[in-house]
Amino acid sequence: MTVLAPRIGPPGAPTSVVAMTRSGAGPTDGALVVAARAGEDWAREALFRRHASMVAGMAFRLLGRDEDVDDLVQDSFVEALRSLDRLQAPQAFASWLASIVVRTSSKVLRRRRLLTRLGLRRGEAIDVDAVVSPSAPPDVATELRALYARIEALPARERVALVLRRVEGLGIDEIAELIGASPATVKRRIAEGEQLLAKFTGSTQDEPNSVRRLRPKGADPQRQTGPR
Amino acid sequence: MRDTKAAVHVTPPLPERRLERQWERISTRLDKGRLVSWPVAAMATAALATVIALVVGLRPAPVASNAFVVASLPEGKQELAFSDGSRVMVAPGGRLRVDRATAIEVAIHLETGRARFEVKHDPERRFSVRVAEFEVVDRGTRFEVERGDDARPGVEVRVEEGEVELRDPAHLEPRRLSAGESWSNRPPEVARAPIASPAPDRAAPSAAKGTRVVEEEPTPGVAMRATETRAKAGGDTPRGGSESRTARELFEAGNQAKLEGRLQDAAEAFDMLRLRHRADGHAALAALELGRLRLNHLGNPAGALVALQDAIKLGPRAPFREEAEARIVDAFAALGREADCVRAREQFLARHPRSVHGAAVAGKCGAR
Repeated sequence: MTVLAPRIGPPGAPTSVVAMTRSGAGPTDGALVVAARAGEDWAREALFRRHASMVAGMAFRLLGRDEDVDDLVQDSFVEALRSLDRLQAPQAFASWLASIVVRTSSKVLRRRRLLTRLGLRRGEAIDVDAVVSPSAPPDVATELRALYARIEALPARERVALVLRRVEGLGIDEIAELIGASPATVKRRIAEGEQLLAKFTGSTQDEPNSVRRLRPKGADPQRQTGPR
Repeated sequence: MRDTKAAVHVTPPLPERRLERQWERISTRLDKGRLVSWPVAAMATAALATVIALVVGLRPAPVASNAFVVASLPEGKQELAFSDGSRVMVAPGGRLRVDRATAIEVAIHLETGRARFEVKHDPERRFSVRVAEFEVVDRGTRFEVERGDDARPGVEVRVEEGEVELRDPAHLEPRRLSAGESWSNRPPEVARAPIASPAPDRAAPSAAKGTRVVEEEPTPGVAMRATETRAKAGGDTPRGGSESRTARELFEAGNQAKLEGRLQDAAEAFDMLRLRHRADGHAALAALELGRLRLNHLGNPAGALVALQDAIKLGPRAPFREEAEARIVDAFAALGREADCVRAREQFLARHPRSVHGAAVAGKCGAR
């Protein structure tokens, strides 16, 4: 339970915009970022409320389990809200925040993998039933389950690239921008991720189906391979 | 980020309570960050502070607190909006302090004057108002608390809806007040205007200490309407006098109505503002608000289109122009005017290639 902000009656300024942000309408991200930089707590909360579901959703899809999502959401927002001064285009807050989520998720995945290798963490498979919505159409559910059943074995970089491509449905350039790498690097990581998935499946026959069905339109695996 | 067919089927449960907890932790960490940097700043200014202390003399340090004060001007009122829809309205001249506002507890101290509370009851959260030596604990309700002044001291609690618990240090067992009941230890009054509820004439509380008075339950809808125009005019302005209301009054009335869910009333106020006060700085924003309401809530895309186009006309350089243009695409789509929709969409995407509305707009009027 938090207070959004006092609404000031006449003759105060029209601060009722605060209430509007709760419905997702109201001030633009740019305006909220400017207000948040000026120390307005309500603007920071409005930014959180507007983008919390995007951040939580993305974290959930990248991590593949719910247990670390809250920490990741908090880490991402704390970093973003503390470093708003570094955001050059306030209107681009959402994509900037998404890049922080991706970077933070990658760190969590690398740490998890390292701890598992050192024997300090149990390498539990993802509970695909908990990840994939029961309301998903059967074909989509099958492909997502196949992906998440094996994705835990992938290295963090390939895993992130693959989820952003297949599940988030982002284009190569968008992924490149989010992870701070070149499009060629992104293509290479996706291709390597796909090869590893196929290898872990033990059959190269059913891998192309999952790739083909989940891959966004126009994403040809041959063209994605790219330069190494 | 864009929600694709696959992404929407991989989403975590995100109830409001979870969001509340996340935000509490985030804001706590942000506050800690501020505290960490404070000693550094203090060290950097230590020498200067010493010199000032010698000249001016040492002053007691302020007590660190997360509480904040809400006070109303004599001619206006203040309102606190909580994220769950609960609201606190401080009457003109009133002052309260919010000691805590967390997911599990809201603690408010009414220091002076009168305040009205509309509380969305949550059994896992304690909502309490301290006034003088008393404490009023919410049980799912709308109620009003008043702390008297020197001329007429004491405390008065009136319950409009639901139930409250009144804790009095003189009594072990708390009193329960239900809808229509009030309690007061104040001397009799002559007349007083309610904050938000033009409740039927109440019998003046008895001079006897702690008198309970059973009242008629007010009509909430009527009650809230009366507040829209009263604050500035001292409660004398009739609601129907829209023609004579200033742009700011209309803007406030529209926002208030919207906040209370009276969307038709809100639309009328915004419409009146944009039509009658076109030179006012609020006119463009009112037109945008009107467009949003008609499009999203009132099922009137044609009216929304007119309002949104008017918003751009009234504020061609307004920061919300981009949003207005995006919603015009929505309005055309809702009206089934495909050719206009496509044209508006392409214009929008060309003019705002990196817009946050880009993905949503691109998905309108069929695939690009």
